[in-house]
Amino acid sequence: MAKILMKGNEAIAEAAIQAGCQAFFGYPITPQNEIPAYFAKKMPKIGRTFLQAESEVAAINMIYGAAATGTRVMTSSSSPGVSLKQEGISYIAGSRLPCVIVNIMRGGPGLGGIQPSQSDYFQATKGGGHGDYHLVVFAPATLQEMADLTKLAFDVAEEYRVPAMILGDGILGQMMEPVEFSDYTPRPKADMSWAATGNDGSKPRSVINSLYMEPSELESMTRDLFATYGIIAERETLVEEYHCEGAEIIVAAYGTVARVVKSVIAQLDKEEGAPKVGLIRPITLWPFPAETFAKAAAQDSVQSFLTVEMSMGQMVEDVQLAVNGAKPVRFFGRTGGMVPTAKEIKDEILSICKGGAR
Amino acid sequence: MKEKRITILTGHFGSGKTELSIRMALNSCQQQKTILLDLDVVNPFFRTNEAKEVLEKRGVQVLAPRFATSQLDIPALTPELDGAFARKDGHLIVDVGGDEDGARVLGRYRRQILEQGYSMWAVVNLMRPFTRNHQEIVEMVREIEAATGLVVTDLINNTHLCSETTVELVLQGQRETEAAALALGLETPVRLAAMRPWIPASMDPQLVIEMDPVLKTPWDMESR
Repeated sequence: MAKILMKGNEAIAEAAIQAGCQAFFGYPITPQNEIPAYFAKKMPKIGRTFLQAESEVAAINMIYGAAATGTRVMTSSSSPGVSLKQEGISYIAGSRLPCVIVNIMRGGPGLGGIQPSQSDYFQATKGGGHGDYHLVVFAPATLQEMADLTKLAFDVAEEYRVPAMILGDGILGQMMEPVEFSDYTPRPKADMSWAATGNDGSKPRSVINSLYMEPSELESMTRDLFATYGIIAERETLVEEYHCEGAEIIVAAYGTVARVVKSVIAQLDKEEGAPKVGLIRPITLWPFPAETFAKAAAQDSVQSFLTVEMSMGQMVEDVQLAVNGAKPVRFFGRTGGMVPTAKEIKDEILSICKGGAR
Repeated sequence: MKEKRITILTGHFGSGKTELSIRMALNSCQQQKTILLDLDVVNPFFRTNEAKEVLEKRGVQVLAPRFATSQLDIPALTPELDGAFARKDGHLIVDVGGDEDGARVLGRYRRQILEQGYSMWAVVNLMRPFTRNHQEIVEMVREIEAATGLVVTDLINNTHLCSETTVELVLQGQRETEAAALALGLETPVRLAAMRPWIPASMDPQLVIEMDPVLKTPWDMESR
Protein backbone atom coordinates (compact mmCIF):
# COMPACT_ATOMS: atom_id res chain seq x y z
CA MET A 1 0.00 0.00 0.00
CA ALA A 2 1.24 3.49 -0.79
CA LYS A 3 1.95 6.05 1.88
CA ILE A 4 -0.72 8.46 3.00
CA LEU A 5 -0.34 11.83 4.72
CA MET A 6 -1.71 11.55 8.25
CA LYS A 7 -2.05 13.55 11.41
CA GLY A 8 -0.65 11.61 14.36
CA ASN A 9 -4.09 11.23 15.90
CA GLU A 10 -5.52 9.94 12.62
CA ALA A 11 -2.62 7.49 12.27
CA ILE A 12 -3.52 5.96 15.65
CA ALA A 13 -7.19 5.64 14.73
CA GLU A 14 -6.51 4.17 11.28
CA ALA A 15 -3.97 1.71 12.71
CA ALA A 16 -6.48 0.63 15.36
CA ILE A 17 -9.14 0.03 12.70
CA GLN A 18 -6.67 -2.02 10.66
CA ALA A 19 -5.71 -3.97 13.80
CA GLY A 20 -9.33 -5.04 14.12
CA CYS A 21 -10.51 -2.62 16.80
CA GLN A 22 -14.27 -3.27 16.92
CA ALA A 23 -15.35 -0.46 19.20
CA PHE A 24 -14.15 2.95 20.31
CA PHE A 25 -15.55 4.67 23.38
CA GLY A 26 -14.35 8.15 24.29
CA TYR A 27 -15.05 11.71 25.24
CA PRO A 28 -13.58 14.72 23.42
CA ILE A 29 -10.62 16.72 24.70
CA THR A 30 -7.91 18.75 22.95
CA PRO A 31 -5.35 17.82 21.60
CA GLN A 32 -6.56 14.31 20.69
CA ASN A 33 -9.93 15.09 19.09
CA GLU A 34 -8.95 13.80 15.65
CA ILE A 35 -8.94 10.28 17.15
CA PRO A 36 -12.67 10.18 18.01
CA ALA A 37 -13.43 12.29 14.91
CA TYR A 38 -11.72 9.74 12.66
CA PHE A 39 -13.48 6.80 14.34
CA ALA A 40 -16.80 8.64 14.16
CA LYS A 41 -16.42 9.00 10.39
CA LYS A 42 -15.11 5.52 9.63
CA MET A 43 -16.54 3.03 12.14
CA PRO A 44 -20.24 3.27 11.14
CA LYS A 45 -19.27 2.71 7.48
CA ILE A 46 -17.63 -0.64 8.31
CA GLY A 47 -20.25 -1.88 10.75
CA ARG A 48 -18.24 -1.22 13.89
CA THR A 49 -19.02 0.88 16.95
CA PHE A 50 -18.10 4.48 17.70
CA LEU A 51 -19.69 5.88 20.81
CA GLN A 52 -19.19 9.28 22.41
CA ALA A 53 -19.76 8.52 26.07
CA GLU A 54 -21.19 11.01 28.56
CA SER A 55 -17.81 11.24 30.31
CA GLU A 56 -14.35 9.72 30.45
CA VAL A 57 -15.46 7.59 33.39
CA ALA A 58 -18.31 6.16 31.35
CA ALA A 59 -16.03 5.55 28.38
CA ILE A 60 -13.45 3.54 30.34
CA ASN A 61 -16.20 1.41 31.90
CA MET A 62 -17.62 0.71 28.45
CA ILE A 63 -14.10 -0.41 27.53
CA TYR A 64 -14.07 -2.63 30.65
CA GLY A 65 -17.31 -4.29 29.62
CA ALA A 66 -16.46 -4.69 25.94
CA ALA A 67 -12.94 -5.97 26.69
CA ALA A 68 -14.48 -8.65 28.95
CA THR A 69 -16.00 -10.21 25.82
CA GLY A 70 -12.58 -10.49 24.19
CA THR A 71 -13.37 -7.71 21.71
CA ARG A 72 -10.57 -5.41 20.56
CA VAL A 73 -11.39 -1.97 21.98
CA MET A 74 -9.77 1.43 22.33
CA THR A 75 -10.32 4.64 24.24
CA SER A 76 -8.35 7.85 23.97
CA SER A 77 -8.05 11.07 25.90
CA SER A 78 -5.60 13.70 27.04
CA SER A 79 -4.10 14.22 30.49
CA PRO A 80 -7.07 15.45 32.62
CA GLY A 81 -9.34 12.92 30.92
CA VAL A 82 -6.87 10.10 31.51
CA SER A 83 -6.84 11.00 35.23
CA LEU A 84 -10.61 10.47 35.23
CA LYS A 85 -10.18 7.02 33.68
CA GLN A 86 -7.77 5.71 36.32
CA GLU A 87 -10.29 3.80 38.43
CA GLY A 88 -11.49 1.90 35.38
CA ILE A 89 -7.95 1.22 34.22
CA SER A 90 -7.11 -0.31 37.60
CA TYR A 91 -10.21 -2.57 37.38
CA ILE A 92 -9.25 -3.60 33.84
CA ALA A 93 -5.71 -4.47 34.97
CA GLY A 94 -7.09 -6.35 38.00
CA SER A 95 -9.49 -8.30 35.79
CA ARG A 96 -6.69 -9.26 33.38
CA LEU A 97 -8.33 -7.64 30.35
CA PRO A 98 -6.60 -6.45 27.18
CA CYS A 99 -7.38 -3.02 25.72
CA VAL A 100 -5.55 -0.01 24.33
CA ILE A 101 -5.70 3.40 26.01
CA VAL A 102 -4.28 6.48 24.26
CA ASN A 103 -3.02 9.52 26.15
CA ILE A 104 -2.04 12.50 23.97
CA MET A 105 -0.51 14.49 26.79
CA ARG A 106 -1.10 18.19 27.46
CA GLY A 107 0.16 20.42 30.26
CA GLY A 108 -0.94 19.80 33.85
CA PRO A 109 -1.61 19.62 36.77
CA GLY A 110 -5.32 20.35 36.90
CA LEU A 111 -6.91 21.46 33.66
CA GLY A 112 -3.44 22.70 32.74
CA GLY A 113 -3.26 23.74 29.12
CA ILE A 114 -3.72 22.34 25.65
CA GLN A 115 -0.11 22.51 24.49
CA PRO A 116 2.17 19.44 24.38
CA SER A 117 3.66 17.93 27.51
CA GLN A 118 5.22 14.77 28.94
CA SER A 119 4.21 15.29 32.53
CA ASP A 120 2.06 12.15 32.77
CA TYR A 121 5.08 9.82 32.71
CA PHE A 122 4.68 8.89 36.37
CA GLN A 123 0.94 8.32 35.94
CA ALA A 124 1.47 6.10 32.90
CA THR A 125 4.43 4.05 34.11
CA LYS A 126 4.01 3.86 37.88
CA GLY A 127 0.41 2.79 38.08
CA GLY A 128 -1.96 5.73 37.86
CA GLY A 129 -4.81 3.98 39.62
CA HIS A 130 -4.69 1.98 42.86
CA GLY A 131 -3.15 -1.41 43.40
CA ASP A 132 -0.19 -3.43 42.18
CA TYR A 133 -0.26 -3.20 38.39
CA HIS A 134 1.44 -1.84 35.30
CA LEU A 135 0.42 -0.78 31.84
CA VAL A 136 2.65 -1.60 28.91
CA VAL A 137 3.46 1.94 27.76
CA PHE A 138 4.54 2.69 24.19
CA ALA A 139 6.07 6.09 23.39
CA PRO A 140 6.13 6.75 19.63
CA ALA A 141 8.36 9.51 18.24
CA THR A 142 7.22 9.44 14.61
CA LEU A 143 3.85 9.05 12.96
CA GLN A 144 5.00 5.76 11.45
CA GLU A 145 5.61 4.55 15.00
CA MET A 146 2.22 5.85 16.11
CA ALA A 147 0.67 3.53 13.55
CA ASP A 148 2.97 0.52 14.09
CA LEU A 149 3.00 0.73 17.90
CA THR A 150 -0.80 1.01 18.00
CA LYS A 151 -1.04 -2.29 16.14
CA LEU A 152 1.63 -3.81 18.38
CA ALA A 153 -0.18 -2.53 21.49
CA PHE A 154 -3.30 -4.53 20.55
CA ASP A 155 -1.24 -7.69 19.98
CA VAL A 156 0.78 -7.33 23.20
CA ALA A 157 -2.33 -6.49 25.25
CA GLU A 158 -4.07 -9.68 24.07
CA GLU A 159 -1.02 -11.93 24.30
CA TYR A 160 -0.48 -11.11 27.99
CA ARG A 161 -4.04 -10.04 28.95
CA VAL A 162 -2.94 -6.58 30.11
CA PRO A 163 -4.01 -3.05 29.20
CA ALA A 164 -1.53 -1.17 27.00
CA MET A 165 -1.09 2.56 26.57
CA ILE A 166 0.05 4.74 23.68
CA LEU A 167 1.66 7.80 25.28
CA GLY A 168 2.06 10.69 22.85
CA ASP A 169 1.88 14.45 23.16
CA GLY A 170 0.08 17.31 21.45
CA ILE A 171 2.74 17.78 18.80
CA LEU A 172 2.76 14.12 17.75
CA GLY A 173 -1.02 14.10 17.76
CA GLN A 174 -1.37 17.20 15.61
CA MET A 175 1.59 17.11 13.23
CA MET A 176 1.54 15.48 9.80
CA GLU A 177 3.85 12.94 8.19
CA PRO A 178 3.56 10.27 5.51
CA VAL A 179 2.64 6.89 6.99
CA GLU A 180 2.89 3.41 5.48
CA PHE A 181 0.21 1.13 6.92
CA SER A 182 1.32 -2.22 5.55
CA ASP A 183 4.66 -2.43 7.37
CA TYR A 184 3.37 -4.25 10.44
CA THR A 185 3.11 -8.05 10.62
CA PRO A 186 0.40 -9.09 13.10
CA ARG A 187 1.22 -11.71 15.74
CA PRO A 188 -0.63 -15.03 15.86
CA LYS A 189 -4.05 -14.70 17.48
CA ALA A 190 -3.83 -15.13 21.25
CA ASP A 191 -5.91 -17.65 23.24
CA MET A 192 -9.18 -15.85 24.01
CA SER A 193 -10.98 -18.72 25.75
CA TRP A 194 -11.20 -16.63 28.94
CA ALA A 195 -13.62 -14.18 27.29
CA ALA A 196 -17.19 -13.92 28.59
CA THR A 197 -19.19 -14.40 25.41
CA GLY A 198 -22.23 -16.28 26.67
CA ASN A 199 -22.51 -19.85 27.88
CA ASP A 200 -24.85 -22.68 26.91
CA GLY A 201 -23.66 -24.91 29.77
CA SER A 202 -21.26 -26.91 27.61
CA LYS A 203 -18.14 -25.29 29.12
CA PRO A 204 -17.11 -23.75 32.44
CA ARG A 205 -18.33 -20.19 32.98
CA SER A 206 -15.93 -17.34 32.16
CA VAL A 207 -15.90 -14.94 35.10
CA ILE A 208 -14.35 -11.49 34.74
CA ASN A 209 -13.64 -10.13 38.17
CA SER A 210 -11.21 -8.04 40.19
CA LEU A 211 -12.70 -8.68 43.64
CA TYR A 212 -11.00 -11.23 45.92
CA MET A 213 -12.28 -11.47 49.51
CA GLU A 214 -9.59 -13.98 50.42
CA PRO A 215 -6.24 -12.15 50.85
CA SER A 216 -4.19 -15.23 49.91
CA GLU A 217 -6.18 -15.51 46.70
CA LEU A 218 -5.57 -11.84 45.83
CA GLU A 219 -1.88 -12.24 46.62
CA SER A 220 -1.62 -15.26 44.39
CA MET A 221 -3.50 -13.51 41.55
CA THR A 222 -1.17 -10.51 41.90
CA ARG A 223 1.93 -12.74 41.91
CA ASP A 224 0.69 -14.33 38.68
CA LEU A 225 0.23 -10.87 37.22
CA PHE A 226 3.76 -9.87 38.18
CA ALA A 227 5.18 -13.10 36.76
CA THR A 228 3.57 -12.01 33.49
CA TYR A 229 5.11 -8.54 33.87
CA GLY A 230 8.49 -10.25 34.24
CA ILE A 231 7.99 -12.04 30.91
CA ILE A 232 6.82 -8.80 29.27
CA ALA A 233 9.95 -7.00 30.54
CA GLU A 234 12.10 -9.75 29.11
CA ARG A 235 10.45 -9.94 25.70
CA GLU A 236 8.78 -6.65 24.91
CA THR A 237 11.20 -3.91 25.94
CA LEU A 238 11.90 -1.59 23.02
CA VAL A 239 14.62 1.05 22.80
CA GLU A 240 16.54 2.97 20.17
CA GLU A 241 20.24 3.70 20.62
CA TYR A 242 21.36 6.54 18.38
CA HIS A 243 25.03 7.57 17.92
CA CYS A 244 25.88 6.01 21.30
CA GLU A 245 29.17 4.39 20.34
CA GLY A 246 32.08 6.35 21.79
CA ALA A 247 29.71 9.07 23.05
CA GLU A 248 30.83 11.33 25.91
CA ILE A 249 27.33 12.37 26.82
CA ILE A 250 24.24 10.21 26.50
CA VAL A 251 20.96 12.07 26.29
CA ALA A 252 17.84 10.21 27.43
CA ALA A 253 14.63 11.39 25.79
CA TYR A 254 11.45 9.94 24.33
CA GLY A 255 8.73 11.04 21.92
CA THR A 256 8.81 14.60 20.57
CA VAL A 257 11.83 15.57 22.69
CA ALA A 258 13.89 12.71 21.20
CA ARG A 259 13.34 14.26 17.77
CA VAL A 260 14.59 17.64 18.92
CA VAL A 261 17.62 15.87 20.46
CA LYS A 262 18.34 14.12 17.14
CA SER A 263 18.40 17.48 15.38
CA VAL A 264 20.88 18.70 18.03
CA ILE A 265 23.10 15.66 17.45
CA ALA A 266 22.98 16.33 13.69
CA GLN A 267 24.09 19.93 14.31
CA LEU A 268 26.91 18.92 16.66
CA ASP A 269 28.13 16.31 14.18
CA LYS A 270 28.83 19.12 11.72
CA GLU A 271 30.77 21.24 14.22
CA GLU A 272 34.48 20.75 14.67
CA GLY A 273 35.58 19.99 18.22
CA ALA A 274 32.00 19.52 19.39
CA PRO A 275 31.39 16.82 22.02
CA LYS A 276 30.25 13.41 20.84
CA VAL A 277 26.66 12.96 21.93
CA GLY A 278 24.44 9.88 21.80
CA LEU A 279 20.74 9.35 22.42
CA ILE A 280 18.99 6.51 24.22
CA ARG A 281 15.31 6.69 23.31
CA PRO A 282 13.03 4.38 25.29
CA ILE A 283 10.21 3.21 22.98
CA THR A 284 8.55 1.30 25.79
CA LEU A 285 8.50 3.45 28.93
CA TRP A 286 7.23 0.44 30.87
CA PRO A 287 9.00 -1.95 30.67
CA PHE A 288 11.84 0.59 30.92
CA PRO A 289 15.05 -0.29 29.01
CA ALA A 290 17.15 -0.14 32.19
CA GLU A 291 19.71 -2.61 30.88
CA THR A 292 20.55 -0.39 27.90
CA PHE A 293 21.27 2.49 30.27
CA ALA A 294 23.32 0.30 32.60
CA LYS A 295 25.45 -0.90 29.69
CA ALA A 296 25.97 2.65 28.43
CA ALA A 297 26.97 3.73 31.95
CA ALA A 298 29.66 1.05 31.96
CA GLN A 299 31.25 2.43 28.77
CA ASP A 300 34.55 4.24 29.44
CA SER A 301 33.82 7.00 26.94
CA VAL A 302 30.58 8.01 28.66
CA GLN A 303 31.12 10.88 31.10
CA SER A 304 27.56 11.67 32.01
CA PHE A 305 23.85 11.41 31.15
CA LEU A 306 21.41 14.19 30.44
CA THR A 307 17.68 13.49 30.59
CA VAL A 308 15.50 15.94 28.66
CA GLU A 309 11.75 15.96 29.12
CA MET A 310 8.71 18.17 28.73
CA SER A 311 8.16 17.95 32.48
CA MET A 312 9.89 18.93 35.70
CA GLY A 313 11.72 15.59 35.71
CA GLN A 314 9.96 12.23 35.80
CA MET A 315 11.70 9.72 33.52
CA VAL A 316 14.99 11.02 34.97
CA GLU A 317 14.26 8.93 38.08
CA ASP A 318 14.22 5.73 36.03
CA VAL A 319 17.43 6.77 34.30
CA GLN A 320 19.05 7.39 37.69
CA LEU A 321 17.93 3.97 38.95
CA ALA A 322 19.28 2.28 35.82
CA VAL A 323 22.60 4.14 35.86
CA ASN A 324 22.79 3.38 39.59
CA GLY A 325 25.35 6.04 40.46
CA ALA A 326 27.92 4.84 37.91
CA LYS A 327 27.91 8.23 36.15
CA PRO A 328 26.24 11.58 36.93
CA VAL A 329 22.68 11.99 35.60
CA ARG A 330 21.58 15.54 34.87
CA PHE A 331 18.20 16.90 33.90
CA PHE A 332 16.84 19.61 31.63
CA GLY A 333 13.13 20.18 31.14
CA ARG A 334 10.49 22.62 30.02
CA THR A 335 6.92 22.30 31.16
CA GLY A 336 3.43 23.76 30.92
CA GLY A 337 3.27 23.22 27.16
CA MET A 338 6.72 24.61 26.36
CA VAL A 339 8.86 22.48 24.04
CA PRO A 340 12.64 22.50 24.66
CA THR A 341 14.33 24.09 21.65
CA ALA A 342 17.33 22.63 19.86
CA LYS A 343 19.36 25.63 21.02
CA GLU A 344 18.44 25.15 24.68
CA ILE A 345 19.38 21.47 24.61
CA LYS A 346 22.63 22.21 22.78
CA ASP A 347 23.57 24.91 25.29
CA GLU A 348 22.85 22.49 28.12
CA ILE A 349 25.11 19.84 26.56
CA LEU A 350 27.90 22.36 25.99
CA SER A 351 27.69 23.67 29.54
CA ILE A 352 28.02 20.12 30.89
CA CYS A 353 31.12 19.62 28.72
CA LYS A 354 32.70 22.78 30.12
CA GLY A 355 32.43 21.12 33.51
CA GLY A 356 29.39 23.15 34.36
CA ALA A 357 28.30 20.78 37.10
CA ARG A 358 25.12 21.83 38.81
CA MET B 1 -10.05 36.37 -13.56
CA LYS B 2 -11.38 39.30 -11.55
CA GLU B 3 -10.45 38.90 -7.89
CA LYS B 4 -13.29 39.20 -5.40
CA ARG B 5 -12.69 41.16 -2.19
CA ILE B 6 -13.13 38.10 -0.01
CA THR B 7 -11.29 34.81 -0.59
CA ILE B 8 -12.34 31.99 1.72
CA LEU B 9 -10.17 28.91 2.12
CA THR B 10 -11.89 25.70 3.15
CA GLY B 11 -11.12 21.99 2.98
CA HIS B 12 -10.56 18.91 5.08
CA PHE B 13 -8.32 19.56 8.07
CA GLY B 14 -4.69 19.04 7.19
CA SER B 15 -5.33 19.83 3.51
CA GLY B 16 -3.00 22.84 3.66
CA LYS B 17 -5.45 25.73 4.06
CA THR B 18 -3.37 27.55 6.62
CA GLU B 19 -0.07 27.41 4.72
CA LEU B 20 -1.87 28.43 1.53
CA SER B 21 -3.63 31.35 3.21
CA ILE B 22 -0.31 32.58 4.60
CA ARG B 23 1.31 32.31 1.14
CA MET B 24 -1.64 34.09 -0.50
CA ALA B 25 -1.49 36.89 2.06
CA LEU B 26 2.26 37.33 1.51
CA ASN B 27 1.67 37.49 -2.27
CA SER B 28 -1.41 39.70 -2.07
CA CYS B 29 0.13 42.29 0.29
CA GLN B 30 2.56 43.34 -2.44
CA GLN B 31 -0.36 44.69 -4.50
CA GLN B 32 -2.95 45.80 -1.97
CA LYS B 33 -3.93 46.12 1.65
CA THR B 34 -4.46 42.58 2.91
CA ILE B 35 -6.20 41.19 5.95
CA LEU B 36 -5.73 37.54 6.94
CA LEU B 37 -8.54 36.29 9.12
CA ASP B 38 -7.85 33.05 10.98
CA LEU B 39 -11.34 31.66 11.64
CA ASP B 40 -10.11 28.21 12.61
CA VAL B 41 -12.15 27.29 15.66
CA VAL B 42 -11.30 23.60 15.32
CA ASN B 43 -7.56 23.23 15.64
CA PRO B 44 -5.42 24.98 18.25
CA PHE B 45 -2.08 23.77 16.84
CA PHE B 46 0.00 24.80 13.81
CA ARG B 47 -2.13 27.77 12.81
CA THR B 48 -1.90 31.15 11.15
CA ASN B 49 -1.38 33.03 14.37
CA GLU B 50 2.04 31.38 14.70
CA ALA B 51 3.14 33.13 11.51
CA LYS B 52 1.74 36.45 12.73
CA GLU B 53 5.12 38.07 13.23
CA VAL B 54 6.29 37.27 9.69
CA LEU B 55 3.00 38.45 8.21
CA GLU B 56 2.77 41.68 10.18
CA LYS B 57 6.31 42.63 9.26
CA ARG B 58 5.19 42.50 5.62
CA GLY B 59 2.15 44.67 6.31
CA VAL B 60 -0.53 41.98 6.49
CA GLN B 61 -3.14 42.57 9.18
CA VAL B 62 -3.74 39.31 11.05
CA LEU B 63 -6.99 38.78 12.92
CA ALA B 64 -7.98 35.70 14.91
CA PRO B 65 -10.71 34.69 17.34
CA ARG B 66 -9.87 35.69 20.89
CA PHE B 67 -8.16 32.88 22.86
CA ALA B 68 -6.77 31.36 19.66
CA THR B 69 -3.45 29.70 20.53
CA SER B 70 -3.88 30.73 24.14
CA GLN B 71 -4.41 28.16 26.86
CA LEU B 72 -8.18 28.13 26.38
CA ASP B 73 -9.61 26.00 23.63
CA ILE B 74 -12.90 27.90 23.42
CA PRO B 75 -12.38 30.57 20.76
CA ALA B 76 -14.70 33.58 20.82
CA LEU B 77 -15.55 35.63 17.70
CA THR B 78 -15.00 39.30 18.59
CA PRO B 79 -16.54 42.50 17.10
CA GLU B 80 -13.11 43.12 15.53
CA LEU B 81 -13.79 40.17 13.24
CA ASP B 82 -17.20 41.59 12.29
CA GLY B 83 -15.36 44.76 11.28
CA ALA B 84 -13.12 42.89 8.87
CA PHE B 85 -16.19 41.71 6.98
CA ALA B 86 -18.01 45.06 7.18
CA ARG B 87 -15.26 47.21 5.61
CA LYS B 88 -15.14 47.60 1.84
CA ASP B 89 -11.42 47.99 1.11
CA GLY B 90 -8.48 45.60 0.94
CA HIS B 91 -8.26 41.90 0.19
CA LEU B 92 -9.74 39.74 2.93
CA ILE B 93 -8.38 36.19 3.09
CA VAL B 94 -10.30 33.90 5.43
CA ASP B 95 -8.69 30.71 6.74
CA VAL B 96 -11.50 28.45 7.91
CA GLY B 97 -11.29 25.41 10.19
CA GLY B 98 -11.29 21.88 8.86
CA ASP B 99 -14.31 20.06 7.42
CA GLU B 100 -17.92 21.12 7.52
CA ASP B 101 -17.64 21.61 11.30
CA GLY B 102 -14.99 24.28 10.93
CA ALA B 103 -16.75 25.87 7.96
CA ARG B 104 -20.01 26.26 9.88
CA VAL B 105 -18.67 29.37 11.63
CA LEU B 106 -18.90 31.20 8.27
CA GLY B 107 -22.67 31.11 8.59
CA ARG B 108 -22.47 34.02 11.01
CA TYR B 109 -20.87 36.25 8.32
CA ARG B 110 -22.90 34.91 5.40
CA ARG B 111 -24.86 38.13 4.75
CA GLN B 112 -21.76 40.36 4.52
CA ILE B 113 -19.96 37.75 2.43
CA LEU B 114 -22.83 37.57 -0.08
CA GLU B 115 -23.11 41.38 -0.24
CA GLN B 116 -19.44 41.93 -0.97
CA GLY B 117 -18.83 39.01 -3.33
CA TYR B 118 -16.50 36.14 -2.59
CA SER B 119 -14.48 33.29 -3.96
CA MET B 120 -14.55 30.13 -1.86
CA TRP B 121 -11.61 27.82 -2.46
CA ALA B 122 -11.60 24.21 -1.37
CA VAL B 123 -8.07 22.92 -0.84
CA VAL B 124 -7.39 19.29 -1.69
CA ASN B 125 -4.49 17.02 -0.84
CA LEU B 126 -5.12 13.68 -2.48
CA MET B 127 -2.73 12.05 -0.01
CA ARG B 128 -5.02 12.86 2.93
CA PRO B 129 -7.71 10.53 4.23
CA PHE B 130 -11.26 11.39 3.07
CA THR B 131 -10.08 13.07 -0.19
CA ARG B 132 -8.44 10.05 -1.82
CA ASN B 133 -10.28 10.34 -5.15
CA HIS B 134 -12.58 12.65 -7.09
CA GLN B 135 -15.76 11.15 -5.60
CA GLU B 136 -14.56 11.88 -2.05
CA ILE B 137 -13.50 15.40 -3.07
CA VAL B 138 -17.01 16.08 -4.40
CA GLU B 139 -18.50 14.70 -1.17
CA MET B 140 -16.30 17.01 0.93
CA VAL B 141 -17.28 20.05 -1.17
CA ARG B 142 -21.00 19.24 -0.81
CA GLU B 143 -20.64 18.94 2.98
CA ILE B 144 -18.87 22.31 3.22
CA GLU B 145 -21.47 23.98 1.02
CA ALA B 146 -24.30 22.55 3.11
CA ALA B 147 -22.71 23.78 6.36
CA THR B 148 -21.93 27.31 5.14
CA GLY B 149 -24.76 28.11 2.77
CA LEU B 150 -22.04 29.35 0.38
CA VAL B 151 -20.80 27.89 -2.88
CA VAL B 152 -17.31 26.55 -3.55
CA THR B 153 -16.03 28.45 -6.61
CA ASP B 154 -12.51 27.04 -6.99
CA LEU B 155 -10.65 23.83 -6.26
CA ILE B 156 -6.97 23.98 -5.37
CA ASN B 157 -4.76 20.95 -5.78
CA ASN B 158 -2.30 20.91 -2.88
CA THR B 159 -1.33 17.25 -3.19
CA HIS B 160 1.92 16.45 -1.42
CA LEU B 161 3.56 13.91 0.88
CA CYS B 162 5.96 16.26 2.68
CA SER B 163 9.55 15.51 1.66
CA GLU B 164 8.41 12.36 -0.16
CA THR B 165 6.39 14.29 -2.76
CA THR B 166 6.97 13.56 -6.45
CA VAL B 167 5.87 15.38 -9.59
CA GLU B 168 3.85 12.25 -10.50
CA LEU B 169 1.89 12.49 -7.21
CA VAL B 170 1.18 16.17 -7.87
CA LEU B 171 -0.10 15.31 -11.37
CA GLN B 172 -2.23 12.51 -9.99
CA GLY B 173 -3.74 15.03 -7.55
CA GLN B 174 -4.29 17.47 -10.41
CA ARG B 175 -6.16 14.85 -12.47
CA GLU B 176 -8.45 13.79 -9.61
CA THR B 177 -9.13 17.39 -8.56
CA GLU B 178 -9.94 18.32 -12.17
CA ALA B 179 -12.32 15.35 -12.37
CA ALA B 180 -14.03 16.62 -9.20
CA ALA B 181 -14.24 20.18 -10.63
CA LEU B 182 -15.87 18.77 -13.75
CA ALA B 183 -18.38 16.78 -11.70
CA LEU B 184 -19.19 19.92 -9.69
CA GLY B 185 -19.58 21.98 -12.85
CA LEU B 186 -17.00 24.59 -11.75
CA GLU B 187 -16.14 27.25 -14.31
CA THR B 188 -12.69 28.15 -13.00
CA PRO B 189 -9.71 25.90 -13.80
CA VAL B 190 -8.11 23.95 -10.95
CA ARG B 191 -5.13 25.78 -9.49
CA LEU B 192 -2.02 24.11 -8.13
CA ALA B 193 -0.27 24.98 -4.88
CA ALA B 194 3.12 23.27 -4.70
CA MET B 195 6.76 23.77 -3.77
CA ARG B 196 9.07 24.59 -6.66
CA PRO B 197 10.76 21.17 -7.15
CA TRP B 198 7.39 19.48 -7.60
CA ILE B 199 5.66 21.90 -9.99
CA PRO B 200 5.05 19.95 -13.23
CA ALA B 201 6.49 21.66 -16.33
CA SER B 202 3.16 21.12 -18.06
CA MET B 203 1.26 23.38 -15.62
CA ASP B 204 0.09 26.81 -16.80
CA PRO B 205 2.17 29.19 -14.61
CA GLN B 206 -0.91 31.42 -14.26
CA LEU B 207 -2.56 28.66 -12.26
CA VAL B 208 0.39 27.90 -9.97
CA ILE B 209 0.90 29.23 -6.44
CA GLU B 210 4.44 28.48 -5.38
CA MET B 211 4.62 27.33 -1.76
CA ASP B 212 7.37 27.85 0.81
CA PRO B 213 6.15 26.57 4.19
CA VAL B 214 6.25 28.98 7.13
CA LEU B 215 4.93 26.76 9.94
CA LYS B 216 7.51 24.30 11.28
CA THR B 217 7.94 21.55 13.86
CA PRO B 218 10.25 22.23 16.83
CA TRP B 219 13.00 20.05 15.38
CA ASP B 220 12.89 21.89 12.06
CA MET B 221 13.45 25.20 13.76
CA GLU B 222 17.20 25.30 14.19
CA SER B 223 18.41 27.52 17.02
CA ARG B 224 15.01 29.11 17.30
